[in-house]
Amino acid sequence: MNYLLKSNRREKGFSKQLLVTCVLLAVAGLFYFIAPRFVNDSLYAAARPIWDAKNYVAGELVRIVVLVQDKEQLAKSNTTLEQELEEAKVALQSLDSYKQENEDLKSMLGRATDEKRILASVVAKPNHSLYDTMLLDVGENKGVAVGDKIFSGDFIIGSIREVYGSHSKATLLSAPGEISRVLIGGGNIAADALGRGAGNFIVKVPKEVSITEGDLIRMPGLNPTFFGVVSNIEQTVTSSFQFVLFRLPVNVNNLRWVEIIKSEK
Amino acid sequence: MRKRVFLDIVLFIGAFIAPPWLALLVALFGLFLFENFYEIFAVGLIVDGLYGTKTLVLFIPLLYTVFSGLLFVATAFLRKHLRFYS
Repeated sequence: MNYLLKSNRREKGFSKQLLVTCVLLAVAGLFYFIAPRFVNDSLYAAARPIWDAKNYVAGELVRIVVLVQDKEQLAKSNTTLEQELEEAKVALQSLDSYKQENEDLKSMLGRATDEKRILASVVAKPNHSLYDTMLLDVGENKGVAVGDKIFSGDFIIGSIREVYGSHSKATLLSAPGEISRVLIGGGNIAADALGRGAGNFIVKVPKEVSITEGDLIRMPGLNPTFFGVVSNIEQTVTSSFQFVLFRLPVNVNNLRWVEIIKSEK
Repeated sequence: MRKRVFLDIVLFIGAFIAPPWLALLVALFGLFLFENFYEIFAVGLIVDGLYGTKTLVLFIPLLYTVFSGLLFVATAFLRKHLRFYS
């Protein structure tokens, strides 16, 4: 009788691969935890030309697309955008005067803030990643420190987690599992918002709290800092709670610039 | 050999600019196509090094490197049991 012989060679091959995997993971772990600065700086230096090339190619592609697009359609969208811009300008004028008035009142009452703002360019943002982080082009060289807040306009979007020589890493507040204290509705109900990734949040509040879609979610504090805009409210008949889903009004994947506000020590 | 070098170039550029899941998908393709495709670890290391922080995601440090390791071992196991590779 003939029997199929078990391949000893393949069995050995698998054990070898398992061993190699364990060794590589151990070496990687050692490197990342013993010399994180070296690993980060090396990777950043290697990645920067690739990101620059990508941005250049993307910019050129957009330029070509605009060139071949229908001129009539472009003129139409241009007119619409101009109109929207005019409306936004008018709205901003009154907003600016309110802001100024707010600042004046605070300084009169001895609560003036002298926040230091640093402009940063978003170098990279991993799309569809479990890490809701972004890389910024400023680091220790510009005085950035761990814990500084990241803003887009008046909306807080994240905080600095790691700082290196010429770059820093920020985690978005919407990163899965991140919990932030927020104020909801006209009654300023305090609640914990849970990050759901890519600028989305969820918060659980009692049904009695009156909230409507489009409401602003704020952060506790003296200065008006916004967190997001309510996009949906989920209620069930049986539950005494409601789930408020809100998101940042800006698309974090399209952000090119952010402001870093130094945390008060 | 030439195919592997080409895939390596695509993979390394992808690890920097493409979504991590896409880079890992390409690496998975390489795992089935070539023997001992250790390049998958490089993808995990690049993604973890660039975007990862000390905060644990899913309670795992170096999430993408660990996931690459799992893919590597799983593929090695599959290759051992698939008639196609015998």
